[in-house]
Amino acid sequence: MMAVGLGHFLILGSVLFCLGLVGVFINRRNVLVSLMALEVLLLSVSILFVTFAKYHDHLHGQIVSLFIIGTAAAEAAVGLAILIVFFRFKKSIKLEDVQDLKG
Amino acid sequence: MITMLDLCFYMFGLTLIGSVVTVFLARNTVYSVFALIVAFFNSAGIFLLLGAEFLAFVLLIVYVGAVAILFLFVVMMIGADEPLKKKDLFKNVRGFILAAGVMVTEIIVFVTGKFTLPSATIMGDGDSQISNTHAIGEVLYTKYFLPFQLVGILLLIAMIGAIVLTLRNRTGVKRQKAKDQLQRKPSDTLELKDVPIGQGVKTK
Repeated sequence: MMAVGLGHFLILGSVLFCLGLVGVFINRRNVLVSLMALEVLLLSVSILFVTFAKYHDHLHGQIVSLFIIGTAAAEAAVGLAILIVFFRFKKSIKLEDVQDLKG
Repeated sequence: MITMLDLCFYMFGLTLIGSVVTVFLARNTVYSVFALIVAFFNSAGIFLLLGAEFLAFVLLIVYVGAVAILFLFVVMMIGADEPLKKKDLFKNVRGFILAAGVMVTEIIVFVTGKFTLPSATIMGDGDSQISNTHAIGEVLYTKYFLPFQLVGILLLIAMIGAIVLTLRNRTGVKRQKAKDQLQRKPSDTLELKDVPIGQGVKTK
């Protein structure tokens, strides 16, 4: 273990981002978990923004991170509302069932 | 020499990654939500290590208090948990390759690139006299006023959208109609009659 520097935080954020990406891909059955993966993606991006804010010693990154948190809350609300409406119509939350537009 | 910062970073970081993995692999969706809450707590710890105290607590309030609880409500409303089956895990190989490619590229950039990283400690910058929250407050309502208001409007629109999407009028449910109740007048329902003695009143 080396002394923790900014690179460690960057690597942590990148690993989280990749985990979120993998989570979007492997969950073909449950839309809820895919939405959670999107939350993880946004979280990793805001960690990276805060890290770079520290690196540049400027508050820009933290402010952007704050906006990301607000946007993530809005996204979660609308996404879950759409999911509930979808569940009412189809009685299912599988991603495989989301193909009505295909005809 | 392992300092307190290192210890905290590895603790928060490893728990964060472990709980995120748990989110995707948990058999029950309720466990996924709880693992997500653990992940949010640990990322708040990471934010604290980076000196962003205000953001850490905003993260706790917004993510744990609002988003995760929203997820929990929806999980309990829908209640369908489809556990991840082993044969589905490797169905989407292209996605895996894409994610792995991104990861490998990042590691190569970090390890070989000219991107030098300062290894000095991150906690405690000496020159700032005001707290993090104070500093954010000073710029948030002046320099970033317009984006701040736009995020507020975005949240309002999202709230209205969520309500409009999920609103439905159920048939067959007895409910109070306040408008009809308040618009009732005595003349609609009440009729005064003079009753002749010995004859009574004829009902219609």
